[in-house]
Amino acid sequence: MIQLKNVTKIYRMGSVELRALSNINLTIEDGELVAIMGPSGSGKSTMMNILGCLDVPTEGTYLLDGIDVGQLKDNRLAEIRNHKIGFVFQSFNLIPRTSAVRNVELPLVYAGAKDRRSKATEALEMVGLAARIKHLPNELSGGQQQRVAIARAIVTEPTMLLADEPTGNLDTASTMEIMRLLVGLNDAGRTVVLITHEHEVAGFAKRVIRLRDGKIVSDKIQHNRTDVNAPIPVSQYEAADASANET
Amino acid sequence: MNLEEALRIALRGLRANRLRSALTTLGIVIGVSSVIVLVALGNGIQNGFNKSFSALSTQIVVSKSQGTVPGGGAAKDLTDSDVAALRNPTLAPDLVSVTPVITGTALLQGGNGQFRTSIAGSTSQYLEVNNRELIAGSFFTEAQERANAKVVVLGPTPVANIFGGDAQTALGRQIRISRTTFKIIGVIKSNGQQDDIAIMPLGAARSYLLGGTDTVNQIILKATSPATVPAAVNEITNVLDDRHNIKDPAKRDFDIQALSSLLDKANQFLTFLTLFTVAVAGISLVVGGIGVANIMLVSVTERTREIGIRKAIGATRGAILKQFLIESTLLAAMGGLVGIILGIAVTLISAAILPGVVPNFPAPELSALSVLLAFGISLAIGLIAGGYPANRAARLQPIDALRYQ
Repeated sequence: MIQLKNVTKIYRMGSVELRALSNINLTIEDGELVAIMGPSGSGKSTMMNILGCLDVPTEGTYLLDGIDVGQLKDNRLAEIRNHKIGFVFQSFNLIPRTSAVRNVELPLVYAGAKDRRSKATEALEMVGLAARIKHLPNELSGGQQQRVAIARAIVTEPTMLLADEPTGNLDTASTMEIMRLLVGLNDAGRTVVLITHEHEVAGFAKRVIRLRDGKIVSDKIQHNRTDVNAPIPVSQYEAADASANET
Repeated sequence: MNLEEALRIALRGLRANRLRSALTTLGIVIGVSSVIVLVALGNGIQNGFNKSFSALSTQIVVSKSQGTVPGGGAAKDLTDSDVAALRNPTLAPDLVSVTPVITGTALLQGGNGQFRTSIAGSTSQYLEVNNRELIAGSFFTEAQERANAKVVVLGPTPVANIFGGDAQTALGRQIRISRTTFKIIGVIKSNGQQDDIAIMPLGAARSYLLGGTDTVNQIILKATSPATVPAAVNEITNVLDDRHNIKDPAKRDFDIQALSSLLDKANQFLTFLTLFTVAVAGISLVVGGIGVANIMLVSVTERTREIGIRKAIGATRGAILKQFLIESTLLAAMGGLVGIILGIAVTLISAAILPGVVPNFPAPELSALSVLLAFGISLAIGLIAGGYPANRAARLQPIDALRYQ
């Protein structure tokens, strides 16, 4: 379970103070599929960094499964990232010149786990890339690279999957593939936090949180979420694009 | 993270930039190999020096003091009786041989002309105690010495001036020295110093050339070992003091010279020279180390994003530190290994070629210690040169590193 209590994040650049997040209170239960939306500059990335334990709040507390992350030292934070969080980035962030299976193995290497190769292969099978485990990142398509990244994120069986614009660099078909995977993982019980500014991506979430100027402006359960298995009509994309332009 | 994984990651890092890695190790290769080669050359020279002069390390030379003795009259000559006294093992137990030498000059005639040279009359041990060798013929024997035989062994200078330098032509020929005809029975090898010389039995030199009855100019003595040289010098001093009636050491009329202390100094000097050249080679190792540090810094900057990814998926500071330290140590160690192979190869090749090209050049001798030391130092350089870049990588904040383009 994720609990943010009065979380504020202030960046100081010289004499200028930038309040990226102010007084955020948020609870995300296990098994939720949450989309965090907002225009650029709204604090999405800061939120993602704090949720992912890449950064600690300036004020307030962040409890991840009851652990106060703000009090932890570097090495404990690394351990939390390794065990409890799986990252999926917009630009895939695979280690270059390293095979898919080696990339997936890496979190297990840092965890000092056993049977790394078989666990990594299993994770790659789960994302449908069993045939490409030896391929290097530059030999894979964008969608395939993102699937490797998802395999890497789930290989340590973390509590939460944190996806930062996971489909931002992908075409429609690949976007659907990735969303099917993420929704499937959520159906299997894993918490998924999606950070996105695309409505059609947010449409798959069970709950949508909107940020603006570092504050939560809306937090709604989405009753009519998009079905990942249903084909998406072209018109819906256009509508989504239109509304994205409005905001 | 275990060592095997760390090694795999480091190797991948090095393989990604093969040319760069190879060029970086080159500095270490040159440093390590030059240390090995220079130490081998220095060892060779020192051992060669000791080998050629070890015979001299037990040598003691006694000669009459030049001019007047302070506070006394003319110096007494050294005589056959002095020689006999020194040969007495109860008086001088630490001596193995006593060789009197009388010297002078005479005109040599024969072959293509005439030549004035130094004459040395001595015993059949002369060659050995002076550490000289023959290039042709033989030296005179004890029997010839006792018989005052008219035989002579020439140095390379008179051979060059009278026989055009060909030892074989000179051998067996008759030669007139002053007014007496001698037979040439041997030619000695050049040592670059005492080449202008003709050596004959002591009695023959006295009877036919230099005159005199019992005086000798020089007595060459050998101690039983380098360690007994000081004791031997004492014994000689006591014997001669007694025979020359000397009570005051300041009024001694003879000089005693032992070469061993001089050799020790020369040896020490050679050691310093070797250390100095090795230090110069060591500078190239340091430069190589700076190259490694430089490339590791570039590598850390280039891979900032990768470091960010690794940290995001759970790499601790320690793991990143280890990765880059192993990478730089591996880089230096490969340089060290190639340097050792190159150094040994150059040493062996020069040991095979040099003596043929430069006569008398002592063959280089490999030293296991220098090989181990050079390799150890290259490893240490890898660790030190990698330390700062690795630490910088380890301290990167994951969000900054991830954002780095």
